[in-house]
Amino acid sequence: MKWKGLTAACLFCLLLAPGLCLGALEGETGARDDEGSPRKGTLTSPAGQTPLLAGLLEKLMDKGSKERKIFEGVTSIISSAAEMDYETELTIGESLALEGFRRYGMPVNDPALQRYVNLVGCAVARNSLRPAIPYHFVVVDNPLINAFSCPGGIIFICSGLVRALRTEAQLACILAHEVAHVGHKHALKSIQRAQFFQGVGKITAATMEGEKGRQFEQMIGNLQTVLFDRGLDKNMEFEADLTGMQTAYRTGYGPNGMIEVLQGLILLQARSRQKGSWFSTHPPPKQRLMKCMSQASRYPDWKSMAQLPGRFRSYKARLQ
Amino acid sequence: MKRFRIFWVTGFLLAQVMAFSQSHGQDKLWVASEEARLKAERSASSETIATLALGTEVSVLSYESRWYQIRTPSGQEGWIYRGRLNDSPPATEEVPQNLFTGIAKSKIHAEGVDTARSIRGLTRETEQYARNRGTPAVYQEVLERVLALSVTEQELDAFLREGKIGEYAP
Repeated sequence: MKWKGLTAACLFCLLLAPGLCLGALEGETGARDDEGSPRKGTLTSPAGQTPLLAGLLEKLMDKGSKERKIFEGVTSIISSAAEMDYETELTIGESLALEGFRRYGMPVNDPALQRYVNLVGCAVARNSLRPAIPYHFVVVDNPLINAFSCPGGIIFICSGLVRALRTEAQLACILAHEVAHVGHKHALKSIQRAQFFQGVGKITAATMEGEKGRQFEQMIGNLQTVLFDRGLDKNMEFEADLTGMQTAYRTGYGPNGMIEVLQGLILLQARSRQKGSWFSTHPPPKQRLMKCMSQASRYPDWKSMAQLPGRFRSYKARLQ
Repeated sequence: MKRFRIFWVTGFLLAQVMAFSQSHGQDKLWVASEEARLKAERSASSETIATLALGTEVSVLSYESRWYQIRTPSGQEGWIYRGRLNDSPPATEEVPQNLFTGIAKSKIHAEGVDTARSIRGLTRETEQYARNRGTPAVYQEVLERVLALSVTEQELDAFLREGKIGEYAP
């Protein structure tokens, strides 16, 4: 930990205060007083240090200061280059979700339907790759055949896609597919090289201001392009399909739900709006179907798993 | 010739070691689901011996009709539905409790669709983003309501029981 702090301090100084690195290091390693004892709880500059450095160090000690927040961000990049903390991920997800409502519309005003979809979604999420984070599902009033997941576990499904389904197992497989994207952190991987993260590993209030704030907005804009228009890498989609099937199966739903959905999409493709739908953001359903079919042998007892067309139909009818 | 014999013998031994390690690996599984309950019998309605923590490594004693008979590290033995286990450890991560809605360890509380969020709003940074973007307040309110939904594990189990799903299947 000490070395990480030292490295971060060094990086901070190199970035923001060239020439002051030595002073910061001395402070961090514990400057000693005249009698050679360590100065506890202080980063007071040693003798001969410039007033500028002393001022900077004082600001670093102030937990509310902008300098301290930037320093914390720099520190965390070293520890979080591989793993983003959940709060940072959630901020990205929430920001994207705001844009999701702007683009796809408001939630369907039916608490019972929203409750039902949340229960199905949470049932599969409990057995997903990341079962320890909270998940939220929302049906938005939009005729498109579409669903997408925001980092952190906020998952949208358009009413048009719900209408196109026939069983609860199919709904479970769709939601498990989206939950798998969150589990694999697919959206985050698509932006991990964003300019915003240059020098920042953790989102703080300070990183949402000025140039960094603009870079964050640009990053969310790029993420919208990926998730709403261009689509994720096709291999990520294949991976989410297969992981989703497995998650639905582990929960107790028939993984054939995913195969049936893809078969239905092939039929719907010719007469459905493409832009902003699963057809434009996902690989061709035929390709996905072949990949899923190749895994069917892993689920020999799929016929005896839950399908629940009746319960699903009763909720779907509420959309008519 | 001798060199070839050594090669084949070495290869054979290596294959045996790999086969042993693979079969040994199947004897160990990990709890990969929240609220995984160890049951006295091969049935969801039987007595719950323990609720196992996510990531617990367990030893498999037998397998029958979608249920594993297992032994926990503390020596407890019982049955657990197969979907609650996986052949690799799950992701375990720290989620600050203030980011959960409803009671701790709950997922969604779906009856709360029309209720105001009581635990937290959006993250401070998301609010800053919305200000920077001039996002209409209505979108923030909608998102807050979506995030306010929570469901307890009990509700989830009742839902699965009603649908005879997973461990509740006949």
